[in-house]
Order: sequence, then C-alpha cells, then structure tokens
Amino acid sequence: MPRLLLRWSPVWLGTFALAATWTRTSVHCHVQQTALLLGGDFLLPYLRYPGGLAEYIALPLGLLGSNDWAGAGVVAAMGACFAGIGAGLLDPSERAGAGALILLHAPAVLLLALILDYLFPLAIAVRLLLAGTALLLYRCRGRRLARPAGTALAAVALAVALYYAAGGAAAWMWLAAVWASDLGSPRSLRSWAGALAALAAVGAAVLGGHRWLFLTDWRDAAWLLAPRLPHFLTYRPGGAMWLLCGWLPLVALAGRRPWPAALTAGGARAVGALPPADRVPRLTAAVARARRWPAGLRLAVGYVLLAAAAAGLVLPRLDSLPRRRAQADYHAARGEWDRVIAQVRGAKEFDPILSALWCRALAHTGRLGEDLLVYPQLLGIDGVFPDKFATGRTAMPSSDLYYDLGYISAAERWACEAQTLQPLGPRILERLATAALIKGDWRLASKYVHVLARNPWCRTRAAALAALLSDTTLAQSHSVLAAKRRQMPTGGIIPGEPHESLELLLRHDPTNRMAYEYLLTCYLLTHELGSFVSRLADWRQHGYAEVPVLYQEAAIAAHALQVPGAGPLLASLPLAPAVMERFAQFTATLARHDGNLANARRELMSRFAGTYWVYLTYQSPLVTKVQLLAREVL
Amino acid sequence: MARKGRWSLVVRLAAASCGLVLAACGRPPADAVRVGRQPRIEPDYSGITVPPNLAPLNFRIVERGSAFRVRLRGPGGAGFELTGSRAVRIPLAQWRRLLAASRGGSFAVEISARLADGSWETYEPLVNEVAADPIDSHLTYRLINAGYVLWEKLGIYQRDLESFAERPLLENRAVRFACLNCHAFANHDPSRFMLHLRSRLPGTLIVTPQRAEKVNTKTSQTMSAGVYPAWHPNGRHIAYSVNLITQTFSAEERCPIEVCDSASDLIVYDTATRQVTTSPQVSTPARENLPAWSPDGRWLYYISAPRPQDRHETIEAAYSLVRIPCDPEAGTWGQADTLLSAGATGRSYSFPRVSPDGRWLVFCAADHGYFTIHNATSDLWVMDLETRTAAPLPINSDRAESYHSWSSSGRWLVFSSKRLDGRYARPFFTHVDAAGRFSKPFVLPQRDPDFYDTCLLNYNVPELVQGSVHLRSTQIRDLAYTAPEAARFDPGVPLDALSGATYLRRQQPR
Repeated sequence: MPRLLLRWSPVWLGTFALAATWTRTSVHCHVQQTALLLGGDFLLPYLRYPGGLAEYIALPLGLLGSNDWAGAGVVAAMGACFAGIGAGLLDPSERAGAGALILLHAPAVLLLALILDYLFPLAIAVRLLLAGTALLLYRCRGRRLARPAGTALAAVALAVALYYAAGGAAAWMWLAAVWASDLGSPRSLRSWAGALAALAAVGAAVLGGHRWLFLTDWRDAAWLLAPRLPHFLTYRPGGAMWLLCGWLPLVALAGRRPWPAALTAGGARAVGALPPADRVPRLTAAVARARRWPAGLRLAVGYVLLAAAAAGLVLPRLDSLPRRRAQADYHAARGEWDRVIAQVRGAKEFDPILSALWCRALAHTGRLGEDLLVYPQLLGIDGVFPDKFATGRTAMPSSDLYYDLGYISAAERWACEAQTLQPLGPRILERLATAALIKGDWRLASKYVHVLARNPWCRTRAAALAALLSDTTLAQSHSVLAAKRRQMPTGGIIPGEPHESLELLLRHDPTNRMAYEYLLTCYLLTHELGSFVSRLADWRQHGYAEVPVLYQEAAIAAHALQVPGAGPLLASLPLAPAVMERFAQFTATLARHDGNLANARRELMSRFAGTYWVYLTYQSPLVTKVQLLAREVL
Repeated sequence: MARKGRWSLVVRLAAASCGLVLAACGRPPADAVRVGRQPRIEPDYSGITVPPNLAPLNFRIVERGSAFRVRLRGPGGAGFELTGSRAVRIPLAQWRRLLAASRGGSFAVEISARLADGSWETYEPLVNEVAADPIDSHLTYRLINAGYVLWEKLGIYQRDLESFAERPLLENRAVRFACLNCHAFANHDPSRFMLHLRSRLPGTLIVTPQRAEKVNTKTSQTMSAGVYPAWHPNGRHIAYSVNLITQTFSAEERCPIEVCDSASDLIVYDTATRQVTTSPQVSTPARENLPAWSPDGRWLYYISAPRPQDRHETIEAAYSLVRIPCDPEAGTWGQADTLLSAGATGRSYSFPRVSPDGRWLVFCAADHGYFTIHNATSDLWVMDLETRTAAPLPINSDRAESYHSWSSSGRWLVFSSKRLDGRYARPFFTHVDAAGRFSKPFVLPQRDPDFYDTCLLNYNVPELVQGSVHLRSTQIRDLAYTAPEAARFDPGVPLDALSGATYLRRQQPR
C-alpha cells in the first residue's frame, strides 16, 4: 500500500492543487451559507429522515472549505477516499495499473468538475462514500461468511443502515454495485442470497420507511440525492453527477470481470489474478502493442489520459454562469468591487443578478454614471433591483442592495426572506444582527449574535458584534452603523416601486449619493427623462467634479426629444466636447440610414455600444418588450 | 473475590470524595449573605400560576456567580434542591411530585450563588402558585421562519405540555414544500381537526372520527377557499372567512408587515354534506372576517370593516366586533349585533374567542388591521358578555400580543406574544380564575433553558388540545396527497340577495 500511495501521489497532489487553484471552496462555502451548530437540538432534525446523517456529516466538510487550502484538502481527501474504496473493490494485482489509475481517480476529477459551480452539495459525495464503504464492508464480510444465510443477513443489515444514513439514492447505488459484484463473478447460492436479500432489504426500507417511519415526500423516500434543504431545491444533477453515481457499480463490476492485460499493472505477469485464458477477451492489435510497453510508460499514458479527462470535464465549467454569479457575489460581500466588475465583464450572457451586482460595484467605485451601460441593461430596472420576484436567488442580493442604499427596514425584510432558505446562514444572521444594532434593538441583535456564536466557524464574527452589544454606546457611535442610522427612513410603507423607495431615501437624507445615483439610473432605464432632468439639476450637491458621461448623454437625448426643462439644463451643464461630437456622429449615422432605426441598428450598436442613445433606441426592455419571468421550482 | 472487593472499595471511596467535594462546592453555608431582592431568571418564571400538570420550568439564572444552588420547596416539606451551573434543568419526576404536593397552593424557588471569592449569596425566594385546574395536555402550533413572502421549511407540531415531547403532525418537506396553515380543532378534540395546504397539493384536510378527507372549499360562488376557520361546537360545521389577501411591508418598527384584505366574507362549511353556505348578513360589501362560535353554538362572532375605497383604506382598516345568531343545522341567520364599534373607540378588533363558560370574550385590539401578529400595538382585551364592558388585560406587553386560545376548562388561555424579542412569536400561558382575573403570563417551558435565545422560528396559532392527535404523521401526509373533494355551494342561498365581496367577485368577468 505505501508503494501504491507513492505511485498515486501525483494524482492526489494534482487534485489538491487544482482544487486550491480553481474551486475556491471559500466561494462554495459563501454561496451555501453552511452552518453547523453544536448541540443536540441542531442534530436532531437531521436524524428524522433517511439521508439526514450524511447531510450532517457534510456540514463540517463544507465549513472547512471556508479556507481555500482546507477546502482543497477536503476535495482531495474525498477523491482519495473514492480511490481507496475503488482499490479495495478491485483485485489486488490490478491496483496499480493504468486502467485502474483512470477508473479509480475518475471520482476525484468529477468532484472537481462538480464543485466548480459552487452549488454542488457535498452531501452527495458523502452519501456515495458511505455507499462505497458499505460495499467494502459487504465484500469483506461476504468473503468470511461461508453460509448464504450469513451473507443475506449482512446484506439486509447494511442495506437498512445505509438507507437510513445516506438515503435512497445511495442505497440504490449500493444495491446496483452489490448486484454487479455478486452476479458479475461466477454465480453461487451465496451470491444470489446476498443480492436478493439486498434488493429485498432496500425495497422494504424504502417502502416501510415511507409508509410508517419517515415523514418525507415519496420521491425523497425513494431517491434522495441532493439534500432536500430549501437552498438546494433549485439544484439539478447533471451528467457529471450521474457519472459519479454510476461509478460505484462500475468499479464493483470491474473488480469481478477480467481486464484487458494492457490496462493492468502486471499485464501478463498477473496471470494468477486473471481468469482462465479462454475468458480473456481478444485484444486489439493496438492494445497488444501497448502490452509490450514498459510499465512506467503505461502509467504515464494513464496520467495523460486522466489529465485530459480532467481538462475536458473541468475547463468548460470554468465559465459557467452560476459560477460567475457566485464569485461576483462573494467578492461583493467582501467589498472587492473591482473583482466584481471583472467577473461581470467576463460574463458571456446577461444575468439579472450579475447586472444588479454590476450596478452596486459601479456605485461603490463611483462609476455608475460612466459605465452602467457597458454591461447591457437588457432588463432595465429589473436588472438593477433584483427584488421584482421573491426567490431564494434574489433575497440576499436584494438585502445587500437595500443595506448599501441605507434602507435598513427593506434590507432586514429581505434578509428575513433569505433566512427562510438558509435559516442559520452566517451572512444572513450577521445582516440581521447588524440591522437590529442599527435600529438599537439590542435584544434582537443579541439573539442573532448568540446563534452566530454557536457556529464554531463564526465565533470571531460573533465576538465582534458582541463587543458592540456589551457596550451599546459603542454601537451608537460606530461610524458605519451611525451612517446607516442617518440614512435609514423610519415609518411608512416600503414602496413597491424602486423610484419611490429612492425618493424616500433622498427625502430622508439628501446627501445619500448612492440613492441619488440609483434614482437617476432608475429614471434613465425607465425612460422617465423629465424626472431625470429635474433631478440632475442637483448634481453639484452630490460632490461631482464633472457630470458623468452617461448623464451628459441622457441630457442630450432629453433635449433632442424635447423633454421639458432639458434645454435650460443642457445649457447649464459643462458638457464634454467628445460627448457632443459622439452625439453628432450618432445622428449623422442615423441620417445616413434615412432615419430608419432598423437599418441603422447594426452600425449604431457596434459604434455606440454602451451609450444611453443605444439603450434608449435598441436595448431598453420598453423597446424590446423583454420581461423577467419567474417559475416555480418543485 | 478479593479483587472484586478492592474495586468496590475504590468505587465507594471515589463516590464519597465526590460527595464531599459536591457538598463543599454546591451548598451555601448558613451564614450566606442574604440579597434583599429576588434573582433574575430567564425565562421569567416568577410570580406566576402554574398548571399542576405542566412540564418542568427550566430556566437560566441571570446573576453573578460561578456555581448555584436552587431549592424548590413546596408545602409540607416537599421539595428538592439542585446544584450546578446557571442553567437549571429540573428532573421531571421530582417536579411532578412537587406540583402534586403544591396543587392549589404554592412553591418557592430559593437561589443561592457562589461568587468568585468562594462566598455565597442567597436571594429572596421566587414564589409561584400551582393552580388546582390542569391545563389541556397538548399544544398544537405551526413553526415557521420569520420570512414574510418566501417559505420553505415549516410544519405543524404538537407538544405534550406534561413533558417536553414534540412531534410533527405534518412537515411541509413531506408535501412538496406546500404552505401549511390555520390548523383548528373542534372542542379541543384531537380526533376532530382541520388544516389547510396552500400553493402545492392545495386543499383543506378535515379529520373527524368518521372520516378523514381533503376538500376544496372554493366554489364558483365564493371568492376564495375557506381561510380562517372556526369549528362549530357540534363538530360538524366549520365557519370560514373567504378573503382576498394582500401584503405590504413597512419601515414602521411597530408594524413591519401589513397583511390586509381587499375583500372578505364569511361562509359555513358542512363536513357531512360538503356544502358551503352563507347569508346576505355576512356577505356584505363590508369585510367580514375571523369567525368564532360561542360555546353554545348559537352565536357566530366575527369582525367587520367597511369596504375599502383605496389602498390606504385597505391597509388602515378598522374592524368592529360583531356577532350574529346562527343555527347552521337549520340554516337560519339572525340580525348582526355590533359589540364594539371601531368607529366609536378608535381601535381595530380581531380574533374574538369566547370562553367555554360563555362569560368572557377575549380579543385583540390594535391601532389598525386584523392581522395583529405583526402589530406591536396589538393587545389582548376582555369583554364581560354579561355586562358588555371591555378592558385591556393586565397581561399585555409593549410588543404584539395576538392569537389566543382557551383551554377546554376555560381556566387557561394561551396566546402568541412577541414580548421576548419583538420578532418571534412565543406561546404564553395565563391562568383565568372564576372572577375573570388573569395571572402573570409565562412562556412555554422548554428542556433547554436557552431555547428561546437561539430559536429562530415563530410559534403560530397555538391551540390547546385535550390529547395527542390519533393519526400518525404519515397518515396525515398521505391524506394530503389525495385528490380534494369538491365542495358545493348551497343552492338555497339567494345569490341575488348577497351584496358582499363574494357576490361582487362573481359579477366580475375573470
């Protein structure tokens, strides 16, 4: 085994390095808002349904991922566990071969690929590892138990225990592996007894458990793969997931079937472990030639094939939208606005959450009036305010936005919505505690801090908040909290329309620059140029050295459209000559196409991309009639 | 044998030395300093009246000290003492003996604290009364997060009040994450209850000893399915409101969420015939809502607000307290009688509940609206139905007091209150004596004294029930998956005589 470990160490080190470099498990942890509270009251609900135990075990593994290096260690260790289970299932003589190398490390590669979109529930991997462990136990015990009844009993005990600990999907995978293992080899009464008993036990556990024991949905009782926790409801297993699930039966079957010699370590030398020669399939000429390669070369080829498979699976996922959304949100939570902007710029398609993050990042970096339309605002105001629909995906981004704007009641309300999905999410608890501190509700704040402190990974954060609670004069004088307190409106209905909320914020604190910029943005995106013109007149009061380009473009457009008040405003604005020149070019281009917007579309959109004129003419949802729709996820 | 004897001696010596250590650490000396006040404990279980069949009142001592001794003393030398940390968990058997000995009398809780320098302080004892009247053995409630639009994980649970055992009646993860709400029991009978499922697998589960079924109470003549329920004492009829509900959010700290109706009426559902009926008296343009029957079944109490003309009036509705004679078996309705007019008093009334002896009417009074659980101005009021005089109860706090339910004996009242932290509703109990005096309320005891510090779930709609629901949770779940039976509208109702929202709704093209 030490030799084996040494030989495969490049794979594990590679997995570790890739995991540390690419997967950024801290983002995974941030998205999933994993929480683990010490105490029986937290554990008990997990024990009430089949598969809950695996979900509980996955919690600390997910939390370790809050540190990228520790998370990489978790991913690598899980991959190694899969490899170890596989090695235990394969015949000893085949453990070091190139084929085994690929087969046994496929789960590590798949794990890497899956975890890259940050939504993958680690509980799935834990379930499959438990199934693999149960299979190893079954195989080990099975060898020692000579009587068919003993094998059958072992199968029943393992099936029931596995169903309870890991859920239906893991039990079925285990069952498939038992059948592949027992019936893949020469059949005997003992193997039939084990396989049939396993089938009966899994079936009985699923049916009986659902009928009498577990208060679960039928689908969960029969097939629980992704945790049925609220924030995983939108998670849909893909191809890589099914490959991971199918790996266990495959490796169980592979452990019992003869292998092409080229794929084994010893090749012809391992004759003792192979079945009779007449059962070995005929090798192709290429494989026959490969048989003559040195063992080291065969292993090297195995590494190359494994790396190619990894690249094929992993690289396409690096640019997926959920991954980009998660990363942008992660950076936003850390105040790394330039990274947020970089993430959104790199997106190949429009996404309302990314769009909302884009606007926030620009507002924080003072570029909202310059670059708003560089990321095309295809949904108009729905791409700035994510709260048109209350969903798990929009709740916390909405809370973040309102918190930044200073509308604490709205931020708190959306944090409460988010809390329904991730009840103990540290970030959500922190937001709720902070909101209560801003409002001076010490009792409520202390409750959230208390819960946060029960999570061993959040004690530092909890201690920082607790310090404010222990001396409430600190909370009163805290600069950030005081600023928010000054901004937040109190009393009155929270308006349903964004511009009403922003007007309210500005009435409450006219110096709230972010609210001012968002209000202008709101008017621009909804084509309310009259309101924009009247609000832009205050631009000097908000600390601008010069009028942002986008506002200049909009003022020119308002004038061109003969919006009342635009003329005097335009006369008072220090317009940049370049902007005037560009507008002249825009109108000239349009005139060249005889004012036909459809004909001029391609040229205008390419030459004047990112300008307000293009938005107003072509991109606005008021022109395209694009709408944001929501659908229910079951 | 000698070896065994040696081990036995070692064990005895160890036990004896542990006892000595405990005695030295855990008992205050006779000259312990007397603190001239009562200790602070959380939850506040001091000066209260306790049912003789309640689970132990575990608490946490909020006083300085590194070790504590708690002596519980009843009449006639009954009692026991506990030593240890500030979290006090009372053994169930000893607690039951204490309550049995103190029934109809009182018991004292004496707390001593050992300070850092090794000295002891003893506080004035807390004295609690033990009522002679037992409370119904079970409490049913919904546990739900504080989200207001989204919901994902919630359930309806039943707690054995005589212990800490809690079991789910139905959790929504078993029914495709449907919204579960408005459970109601007939006459506190665990074999006769109903609950709604909304959004997914929608319908109303109605369980009686005769049958268990799922019903769609929406008919073509009513604006919605039945919403807020009230079982008639005959156990056969259920009065419901039918509502068009909207929700808005507020930056007002005292009422962050406004749940209001643009329209509502009352209906009565017959569980035997699956027939829905109503009357022009309770289907008017005004908003009739939140029905409740008198214990003799002759009166239907409800609230009513004028038809709103705009959004402001929808939200700022002021509901009056009304009752109407009704005999659902004969299908007869009398004339509505206004008990408390919102216009005259400037308050908005909701959740009328008549005591089992028919004497007291407890209801909520707030500055506006009817959905008072989010409204900190909501207080509990009581009306003496013999004299028709109403007054706020002395048990209110500056936070929301809302949904309440009488015990079957009429000696206990459970109600939702947000007094602990302002956001999460907790069930509080109060004893009501024959003269209508309400004792200091106390929160539902939990095994973990810190429970309410970390629980982030609301206790909704606490209902006292006389026993455990007979159906298994899995049976209730299976019932939820059945296809709902359709209710039919009473053909005897003169539709053209209806003038309420139900009628108006019917007139509008869909």
